[in-house]
Amino acid sequence: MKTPDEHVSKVGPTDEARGAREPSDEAPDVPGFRTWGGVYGFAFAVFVGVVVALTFFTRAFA
Amino acid sequence: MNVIDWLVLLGAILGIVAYGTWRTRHTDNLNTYLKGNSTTKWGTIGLSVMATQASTITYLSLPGVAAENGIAFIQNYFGLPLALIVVCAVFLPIYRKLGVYTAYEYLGQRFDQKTRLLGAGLFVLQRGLQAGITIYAPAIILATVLGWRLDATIVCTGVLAIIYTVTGGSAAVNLTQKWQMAVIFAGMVTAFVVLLTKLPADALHIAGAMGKLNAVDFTPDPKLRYTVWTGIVGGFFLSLSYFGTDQSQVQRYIGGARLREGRLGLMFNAVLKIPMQFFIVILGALLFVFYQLQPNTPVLFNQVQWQQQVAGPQGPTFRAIEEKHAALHADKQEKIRAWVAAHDRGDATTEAAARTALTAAQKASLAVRNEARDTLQAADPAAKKTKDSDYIFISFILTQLPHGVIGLLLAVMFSSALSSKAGELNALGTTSTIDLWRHFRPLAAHDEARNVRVAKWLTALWGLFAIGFALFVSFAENLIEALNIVASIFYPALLGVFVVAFFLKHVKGSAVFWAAIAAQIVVLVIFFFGKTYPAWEIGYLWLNPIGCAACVLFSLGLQIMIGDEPGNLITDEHG
Repeated sequence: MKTPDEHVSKVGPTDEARGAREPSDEAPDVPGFRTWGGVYGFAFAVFVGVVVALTFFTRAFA
Repeated sequence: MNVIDWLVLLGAILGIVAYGTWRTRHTDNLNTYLKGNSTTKWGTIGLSVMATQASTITYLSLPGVAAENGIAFIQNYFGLPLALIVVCAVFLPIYRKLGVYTAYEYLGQRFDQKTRLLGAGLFVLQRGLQAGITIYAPAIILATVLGWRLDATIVCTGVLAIIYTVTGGSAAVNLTQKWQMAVIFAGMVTAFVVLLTKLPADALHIAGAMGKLNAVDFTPDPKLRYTVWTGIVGGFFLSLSYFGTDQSQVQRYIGGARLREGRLGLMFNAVLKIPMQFFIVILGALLFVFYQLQPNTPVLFNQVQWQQQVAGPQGPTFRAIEEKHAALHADKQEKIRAWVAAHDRGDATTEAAARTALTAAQKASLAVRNEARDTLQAADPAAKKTKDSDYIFISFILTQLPHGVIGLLLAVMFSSALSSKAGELNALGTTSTIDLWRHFRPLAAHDEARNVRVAKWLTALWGLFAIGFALFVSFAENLIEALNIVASIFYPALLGVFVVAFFLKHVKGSAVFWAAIAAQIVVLVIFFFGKTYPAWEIGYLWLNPIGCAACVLFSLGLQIMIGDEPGNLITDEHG
């Protein structure tokens, strides 16, 4: 998989005035998370937790 | 509806529209008009993404779907958090880095202009159709139950959305969606609390005993519409298409102060979307219980059209059905009481027998409801335009909620119609300007003021098209499913193009262009073959992975066949 920087170097920015000059690895700046991988991991863990909870909910009431 | 309801409804709707229009009336910068204010924070982006996806159909139709078929629909959203993680990690950084206005601009750079036009064309085709559905769907229900003129309801809703979307573009859409979501949350929570006060403590157990709380189903049968597998696999591809390649969503998160704001806005949805949808389907399951325990539950909830027939020449037939339903409903209530008593005693043998009797009573009651529906549709073909389940929640709102709250809930319906409509029009106007108009007028690209003017005109034209489409359309499917089916037909090939663009760098424009067309044909053939021969029909969510995979495989095959030699059809300008 190519990184965003590789895409830019290949195709060039659409319009230099429009292109955002920002690092793609910018820190999330969210308390408790130092990397975006941590944020994605948290979202994934919540998803797994919700599916497990719904499975128990189904077992409990159905 | 009384004066208080009208004041709440008009105050909420017109107040937000006026505020959004006034605050963004001087938006004449192209970047702000198309991407929104550059200082937008993640909370606004997150709410805007949520508001664009959840149209009135979500709040009006989904509780009815859950009341009729149970809460299994929730599985449709299982792929969404996974798709949003991929969008955050792969799609968004590239869009931000390239500074594109639309997702299809990226295709023009990665492949060629014809692939960009194909992507933009597929988008405007399916989103243009959906724009008609999202304006028609709530209008027909609200017009029927409130006694309003359908055409006037469609035109008023459409014109309001056009006014502020044309005036302030993305900046106005983001701003108004935030307040519209506040109205929606307030209204839905209020309705839920009022419903809870009208239910017995064991309402959830009754819903479960009557088969409405099967949230997850692990059955590996591809013919079933909603299982864990269709939700995770099909829902993942559908969500990836929608959030990653549909301009109405891309436009919501590519703006903002920093890349971080877009990412956190999407993660906000990844975490909260399934719980929010669960709240709505549980509301529907509890509505079902509420109506089981009411003495005078109607045989059909579309009472306006039903009562017209009761008062007409076929009145005796309709009254006979009502009497049959009333007797079966009373019998079913006895069975419910018997099951609750056995359940409370903890007597497993009696409870199992009571549940069997309850299931039989429910089946008999359902048969009469089906007979009523068929009889009504035979007598009044206009009743075929909607499903009875779409009337369940609105019936509850109008008959069970206090005045003022009725106005608030109607404001929820119109707020959600306006917020999703505005997002769609904004995206259609932007794509038409950047990917279509500019393509044919490349010299005008540097005239910013002219670009803004054209974007405003095209946004207004799309709004008028949606109104016109809504005035002449009718649907046989349940409303929310109609939206998902249209998306599942047109998204997969488009997603395939983006997957090739991001992950298969050796594949060039001509290969992916023809592969996308072939994949679109494959999807259409599978869909219509299933409609012609129902024994071969598969759940529509499966069209998403099939169409995407077909596009990727065809691209690889065609790239090998075409090759990179000079003189082939590849016209990649940048590669």
